[in-house]
Amino acid sequence: MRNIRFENVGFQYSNEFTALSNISLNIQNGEVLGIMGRNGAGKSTLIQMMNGLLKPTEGNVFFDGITTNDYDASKLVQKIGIVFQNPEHQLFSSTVEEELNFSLKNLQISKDLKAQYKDEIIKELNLQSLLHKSPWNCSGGERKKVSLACILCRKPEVLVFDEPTLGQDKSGYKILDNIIHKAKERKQTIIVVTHNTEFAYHYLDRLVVLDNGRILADGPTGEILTNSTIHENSSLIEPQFFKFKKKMIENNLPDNEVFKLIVQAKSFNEVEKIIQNSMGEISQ
Amino acid sequence: MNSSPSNPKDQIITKNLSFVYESVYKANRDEITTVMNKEGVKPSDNPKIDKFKALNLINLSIRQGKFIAMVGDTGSGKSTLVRTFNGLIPSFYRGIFFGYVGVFGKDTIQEKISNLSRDVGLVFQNPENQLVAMTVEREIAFGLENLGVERDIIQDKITQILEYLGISHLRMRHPYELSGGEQQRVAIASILTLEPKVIILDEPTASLDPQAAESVLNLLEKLNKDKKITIIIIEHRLEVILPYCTEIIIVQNGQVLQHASTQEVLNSDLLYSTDVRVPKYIQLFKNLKSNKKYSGTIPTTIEQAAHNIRELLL
Repeated sequence: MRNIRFENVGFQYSNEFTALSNISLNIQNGEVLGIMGRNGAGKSTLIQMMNGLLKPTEGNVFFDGITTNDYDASKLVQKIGIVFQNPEHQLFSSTVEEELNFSLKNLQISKDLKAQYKDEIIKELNLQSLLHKSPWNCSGGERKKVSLACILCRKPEVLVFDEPTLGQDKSGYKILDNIIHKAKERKQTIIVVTHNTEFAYHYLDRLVVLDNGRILADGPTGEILTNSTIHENSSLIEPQFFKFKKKMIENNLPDNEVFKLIVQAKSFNEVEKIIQNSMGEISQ
Repeated sequence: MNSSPSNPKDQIITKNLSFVYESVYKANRDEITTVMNKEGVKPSDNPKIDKFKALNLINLSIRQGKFIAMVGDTGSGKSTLVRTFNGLIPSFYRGIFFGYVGVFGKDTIQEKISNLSRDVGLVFQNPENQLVAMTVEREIAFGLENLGVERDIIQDKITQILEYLGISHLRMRHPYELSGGEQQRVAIASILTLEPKVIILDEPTASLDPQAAESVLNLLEKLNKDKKITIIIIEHRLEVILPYCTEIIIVQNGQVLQHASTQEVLNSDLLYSTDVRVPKYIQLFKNLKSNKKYSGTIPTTIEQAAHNIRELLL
């Protein structure tokens, strides 16, 4: 089983700041999990412990049943790919193509296979026009795409994203949507750190909410995002559609069939269909 | 937008503004030759230099006191455009500059960068990138110290600004110990000391949690209303910025696709044709309007959306 397990994990930075305490968490193979919580709650520290970039100062983190202390570090980094929040932190070559070459360099596979992996990712993320551009001349959103490509091209078993929606427009979202769908089909584990409630609501099955380095809540996304007690302690907000429906029924429900249908709808698309079908054109 | 006659001293104006980045990666630095003259910087014809046209003939006029959202696809030129407003471009970026940028009547090519940066404050996405001092107090004092302001005056000003922003308790803290939202407030405080006429923020809340993001935006709204400071925010998430902005500028392929009031932009079709992600409830109202099922204004908050749907059905 390719699971990631945290057993009573604590982490203290060298300046004695305690970032995580008493974290116990089991992430099964194929789960699509989100980690949410305030700035400084310990989210980024938590994911850096997964591939051994940070080692716990208390307790143990296991991948595949082996602690990150005992796992061969170079293999672990390849199996668990982390796409960081700031692409600047992981880009340093003079062109996007060199960046990809570097990413594949240490993979222990044949030259031909490396070339194939490279071609695949260029096509998948539509990088052709960026290949000869310096990463520093790319826009913020393009840089994000490049940093994503550098991790994805190595085909890691577990994908970890730190704020993947940051600075992304519709096309960026589509690419992300595609990556997540494909990974879900392959039953690949996906872990996403995000502040983006709408993204979490649509893509993630389970949410772990951190507060002050501890787990405040852990459960199905829908339940967590609509629980007001959790919101108060974690800076989460309700998904827009929930807010909309809550507001709709806040005052007395009018005795109106269309209204009743809308309150039962599950998305804005459904609301639109109901209105379009039930109303005649109005004179302007 | 704004066709009525107006005073250039109250505005940021661009005329035929264009900028082409030149990348040095293929050439030795001494091979690069750019010549600056009154019309701008002449292009180098060295084939080893990679060129990228970021801005293409931009004509804009931004009046003082507005709250503006600048939106557009990634790579459309938003960040480049705002960097021309305080002279960072062309002074600190290699490339070819063409056209005119006038900031409150000052030509950014002629004017000293230090003078421009007093009028136009720039806040970046990651506040860590612009915080340098050991305490919040020192951080905020930095700009004024560089201008040679007397110590007592600096101290008074810091007290005033910290109180105004509700962060007096952070005065002696180290900027790096603060949360993202607090750091962003400190970055804004350090800019406020210079009493800017415009504050430009490049995705200021992107890495903040939702409640911290809201508090930063509320603060900017207060500055806009109380002090009439022009606020220009680059933002990808329309749902975050719509409740605040009075105007929207859409940038696409290095050009201004539309500059109009928020309601005008939401009502026209241009926004929906771009790569900008439009909140689902806005799209819902836009579709209802197109199909003549709704004739009111397009709501800019989810609460308004629910209210308008109720009104429509009753």
